[in-house]
Amino acid sequence: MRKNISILSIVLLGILSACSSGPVKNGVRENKMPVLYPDYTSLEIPVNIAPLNFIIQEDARKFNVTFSGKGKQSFTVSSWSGKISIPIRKWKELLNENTGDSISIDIAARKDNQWIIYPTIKNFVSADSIDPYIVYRRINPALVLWNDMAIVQRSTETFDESAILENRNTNGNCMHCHTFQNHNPKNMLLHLRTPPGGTFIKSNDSVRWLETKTPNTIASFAYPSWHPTKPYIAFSTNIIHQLMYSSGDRLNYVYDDKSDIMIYDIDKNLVFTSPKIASEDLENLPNWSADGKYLYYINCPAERKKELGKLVKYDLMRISFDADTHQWGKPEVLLSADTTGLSITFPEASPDGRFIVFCMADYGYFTIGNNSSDLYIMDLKDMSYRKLNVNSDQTESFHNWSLNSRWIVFASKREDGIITLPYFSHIDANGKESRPFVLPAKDPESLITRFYNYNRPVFISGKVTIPQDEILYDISRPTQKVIFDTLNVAMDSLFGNKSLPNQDESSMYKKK
Amino acid sequence: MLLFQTSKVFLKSWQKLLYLFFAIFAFYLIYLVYEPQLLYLNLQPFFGFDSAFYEYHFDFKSGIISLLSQFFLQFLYFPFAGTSLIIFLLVLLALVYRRILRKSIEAGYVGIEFIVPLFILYQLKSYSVGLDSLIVLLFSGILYLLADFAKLNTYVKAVYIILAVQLAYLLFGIPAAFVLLLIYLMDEWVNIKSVRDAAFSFIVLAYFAGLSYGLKDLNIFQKLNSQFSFTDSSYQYPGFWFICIFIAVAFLLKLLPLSHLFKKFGEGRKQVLLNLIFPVFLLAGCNLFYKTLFINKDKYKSEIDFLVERQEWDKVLEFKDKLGLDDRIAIFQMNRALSETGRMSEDLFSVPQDWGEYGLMMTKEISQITLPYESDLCFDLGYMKAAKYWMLEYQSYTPYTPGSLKRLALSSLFLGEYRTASKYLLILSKSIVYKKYALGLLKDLKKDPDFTRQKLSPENLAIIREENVMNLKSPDLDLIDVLKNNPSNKMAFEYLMSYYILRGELENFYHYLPLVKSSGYYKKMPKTYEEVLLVYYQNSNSPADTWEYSVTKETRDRFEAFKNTIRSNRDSKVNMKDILRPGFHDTFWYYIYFENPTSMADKIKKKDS
Repeated sequence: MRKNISILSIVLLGILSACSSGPVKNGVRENKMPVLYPDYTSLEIPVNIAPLNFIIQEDARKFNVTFSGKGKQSFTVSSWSGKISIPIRKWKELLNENTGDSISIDIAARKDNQWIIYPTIKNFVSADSIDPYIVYRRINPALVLWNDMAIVQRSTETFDESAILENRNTNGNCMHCHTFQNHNPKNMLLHLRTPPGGTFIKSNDSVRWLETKTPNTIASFAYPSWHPTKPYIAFSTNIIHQLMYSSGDRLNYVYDDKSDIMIYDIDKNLVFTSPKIASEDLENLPNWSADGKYLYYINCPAERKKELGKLVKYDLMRISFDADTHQWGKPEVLLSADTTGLSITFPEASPDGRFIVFCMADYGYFTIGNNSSDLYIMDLKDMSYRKLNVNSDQTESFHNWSLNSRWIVFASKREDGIITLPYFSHIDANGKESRPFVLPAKDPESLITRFYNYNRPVFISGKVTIPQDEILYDISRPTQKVIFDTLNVAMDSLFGNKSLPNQDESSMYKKK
Repeated sequence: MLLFQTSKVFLKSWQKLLYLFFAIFAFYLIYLVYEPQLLYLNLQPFFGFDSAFYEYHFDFKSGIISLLSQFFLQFLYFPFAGTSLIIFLLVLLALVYRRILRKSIEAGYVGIEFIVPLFILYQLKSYSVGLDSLIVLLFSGILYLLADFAKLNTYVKAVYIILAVQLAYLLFGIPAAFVLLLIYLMDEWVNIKSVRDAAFSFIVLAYFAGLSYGLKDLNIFQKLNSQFSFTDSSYQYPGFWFICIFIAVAFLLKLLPLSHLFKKFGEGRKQVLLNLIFPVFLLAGCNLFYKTLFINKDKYKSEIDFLVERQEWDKVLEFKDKLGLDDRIAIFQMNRALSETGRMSEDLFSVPQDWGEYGLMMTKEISQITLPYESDLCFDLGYMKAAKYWMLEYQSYTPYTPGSLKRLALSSLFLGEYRTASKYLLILSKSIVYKKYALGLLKDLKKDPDFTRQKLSPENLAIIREENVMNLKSPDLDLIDVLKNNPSNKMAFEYLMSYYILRGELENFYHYLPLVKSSGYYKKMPKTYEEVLLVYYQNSNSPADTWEYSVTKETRDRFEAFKNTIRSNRDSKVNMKDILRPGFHDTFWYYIYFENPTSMADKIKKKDS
């Protein structure tokens, strides 16, 4: 028995001693950079980001990676497999010590009984922190028979990931369009389709579970944007279709027969709109400006739709709105598809009010499966726009600003053309972007091997604490019907509306 | 209580603590080494009862799985002999088991022999019935025995169990790993003799929990809990009910007075005798189950899938008379076999086409089950984007099966999407059996992707750059696209023609008929096409001398005979179908008259009246 224990102890000691070592100083210098997955080199990273674990894709028996900066903190991680798991506490200390400066990553590989020392990798640590959580929809990469879906929150500072709502608890239905007011995790919205179907809104400790199709609207609420200060949510209502491509390079094409924009007043459970944003044009994808005085959206004029058929192109629009008086301004075309030759979609205004980031693709608005879709930025100071230098030859689509307006997260299929992963890029005060990097994973290989799309990534300023059980309870109750307010609207101009609403549902905004 | 006793023992004995540490250390070591594989646990269907999961495990071209599956397949041909052989092997195993572990026999009866009937029950719940279950059964049993050899040294056993579970998982997937652990766990719990045993059970349980914890979400226990939340979804996880039955029966057996009787009776020689007889009785019961509840039709489906995987198409067609008419997938595979053997245009109706065009292509009425089959067909047609697409859809239900990963890798490679192909090959390389293949292809891909693609691409590869919308309801349009891309794609042509024939769309059939001549694939007009032509000409009232395509006298005479039989038996009380079946069941006329509710049948009847 003693003999066994001794052998065991030797083996354990051997294993443990192999796990830690210092930086490699003597070895052969290599000129070329090592191949890393993900490519976490020459980046600007937020001071509070989770450890950027990576895999060294070089043939070697052992790897030593030393992380250092100008401060005291310096540590070495060893690996036989090339998979580098960075200790989180040391990583945090390193970033904090080197804020506003660069950290160095020195990689050495043991090959043929000698160490190969690669050139130092430098990553700049930005003092601009990133929102501590992102929320995304995690879904199988299937277009028709998707199965497993969940609205998931993931810490950007650690690797914690937890489901806000999973469809295995809701009869496998579809859930989407998670949206928050001003990045506040307490005010949350999401849609569920097919029973239990409805729109779930949690706002200031009150909950609404809504049936949003009214006799006066063409469909249920779809793409939302929460007013930054008021209890208003702008929604589009759309008659949506999906086509799958059996050839060519694209996956699918989502298009609308019709679409309008509405505003939902949470406190009054009332929907209102204006013929200016609910006409026979295809108004879609509303997005509030930071001060709530403008509503940005996209629009395809009815004549253009007639001309182009299904392969429509959208303009970038905005309209002023007075939240107190409900007065709408005149719709303005900020950027026309006629000018760009491309279709504009997913406008997202920065919280500081300076920029809008949007996508442009050869056609359509739902460009998730369209590899021509790229990100652009518009400076609202002079309305100039340019293509962001973060794009790939694959799809870049949905994106979102951090609360401090210094980071964007965007969905990209650059990995393999199928899977959508969230990428981050720093945008400085002048709108200059940094090299994007993928959301760090505890096991970087999981970025390759997990069959999930991480769709619609949005930043939030803290963790969503509402338990899933509570949401499940709320959505198990009967839905409340929203009331359509019409008296201020020229009814005939409403797309799809051919009948007057129930007069008992009198306007709460009726002028006195 | 268990926890209390466990901690008491831990405090008492430092050696046991060391064993425990070693078990945990072994677990984490293996966990770290095999992390990627374990990660997939939460993505695999729990207990993977759907047949498709297993079917793709037959995709291995070499290795232990192939050997085992071939070995067991023979039992499916001769159920009685097969069952007898299995019983013989299991009794033999039981004997060895008893002999080696005689000292611990009195512990109880929950051993390999007890597992057998439960497995037979389990296999009855499975779509494919026997093959997969039998493999799991044998493998688990062997590993269980292996673990039991070390019964006196609990810490060694821990390593065996953990290694065995890893191996079972890697080779057979989650079901085998679960079964193995459950067998062990139940045995331990039912036969608890000492606190040490209890503690060890606890460790194994912790292994589960640790594994689940590491996976963060969708852990095993949550999944079990979800069974209670949604009563209507219990059928999705029959494995859960299997566990329930298992636990209940195991404990009942322990509590039954009978077990005490057994113990009392079973002393000395009698004990040995009993231990020999008891498994035989149990296995005889299994045989009864096997014989009475085994459904031949399901067995045939399993065999067809296996033969298709091995591309033994002639053998697939041998099943055409054995099959019932209610299985769409079996008919679909028969049609593939007709095409692969070059008989589709000649003998389309030699296979019962009761499903019409639904048995030809799977895009109509797609479901979780039909997805991989449609992908297979598209792959054979050279229609790569669709082959990839359908397999991607399938992935959402059954991810990480070697067959689907291989399909995704190859279709991506053929489409020139090298990065995507590399990704799937990398995942595939995690499979022990596929490792060599995947790494080899990855190496080639890295070296010269274009050459690798060119070398492996099928001749009929159709890469269509124009954007065409997928036509789920009219797959003929997709076939036309494929044909446009490569007019010499015989398979696509025959599927297109068969589609029109089965739908009774004779105008469309006639429209594409010139390709019979221009393609150069046929020396003469295929028999089935002649039969269709006759109906087409009759419907269009064309005199024979104006026919663009000649029809052999033999076919014309047969058509006349068919019509005459109908005319002469119009007033007969015997069912017309029974009258016509012997002479004409393999003709288009019989199909269109009886099987397909299209207007064509009415037209034929009208003209004959």
